[in-house]
Amino acid sequence: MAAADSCDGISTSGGGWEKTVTLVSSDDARFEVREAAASLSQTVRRMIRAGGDGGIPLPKVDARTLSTVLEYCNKHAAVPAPAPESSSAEAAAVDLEWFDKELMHVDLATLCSLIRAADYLEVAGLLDLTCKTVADMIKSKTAEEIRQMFGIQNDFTPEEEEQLSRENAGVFE
Amino acid sequence: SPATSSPPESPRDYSALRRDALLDIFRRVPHADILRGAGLVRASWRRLAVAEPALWRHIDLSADEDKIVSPKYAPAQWQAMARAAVDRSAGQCQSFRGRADGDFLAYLADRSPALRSIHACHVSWIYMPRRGFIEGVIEKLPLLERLVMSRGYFHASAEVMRALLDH
Repeated sequence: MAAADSCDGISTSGGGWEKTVTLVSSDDARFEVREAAASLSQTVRRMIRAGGDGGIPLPKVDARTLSTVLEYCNKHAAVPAPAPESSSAEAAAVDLEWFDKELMHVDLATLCSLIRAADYLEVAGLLDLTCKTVADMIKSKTAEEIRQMFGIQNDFTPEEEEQLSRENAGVFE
Repeated sequence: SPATSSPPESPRDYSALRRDALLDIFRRVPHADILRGAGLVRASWRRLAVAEPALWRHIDLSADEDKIVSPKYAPAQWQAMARAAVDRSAGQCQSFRGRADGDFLAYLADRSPALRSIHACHVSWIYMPRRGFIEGVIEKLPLLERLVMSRGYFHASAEVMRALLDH
């Protein structure tokens, strides 16, 4: 993949000539992406500006997670030539909404990896989407229900537990 | 490139989330749910829920109204929750929305010098002497711009109305 080693490759996606960049995951998978899409990540954008050869290393994101992040970026980056069926802005917005919803149909472990990746890569829209998804899962749940759902150990000391139950007498049903 | 890939993380260990990311999640969880659930999951979540006044700058406990109106929901419960929310705001609360009574409004006013807006829902009874409302609430809130009392009964004497208009 010598050609992909350059940070300013050229591809023909979308029917036109577009600048691409190569991103390298923690497990050394290489992804060639439109620069417009990759630039939704502020972290990548800064690294593009800094320049360099051999692709942009992203040591904190594995290939599986990165491919989902890029799926999001490709969809959300402004597409130069909109497809005829999504010519109206309204239809495009509805389409994006559906896309986001579908993208969030993943298990919790994946969701957590996506939050960490969106946080590290600084993809604001994806961080918002993933945090909102988790917030919706946490809503209206007791602490024990949340622990079970996320596989979290209760790590309060007995003293803290006692203090909590004193403080919260009256707050719980 | 060198094999520096991080060791496989325990994928279900949510504590690996950075504090900022967890804060982003908490911002989107209703306050009542943080008080009763999410804020009690583990020590780090508890610290975030208790010691981050920015989370409590705009307190909204109104989403909990369904529970509040149920007869099972004793006054002690909503009062304890509302007071806990005010305590966590550490003096930074700018708006409050939720059930209230006279005692709670005085508690809120005492601790929220930056308060701009009060939307009191289900004010079933404001039991507070007139002077108490003027001196104990209105005069303590120089920045108050908005006071809404909804779905309830509030007896305002001419004296109280004058104090509000003067404000």
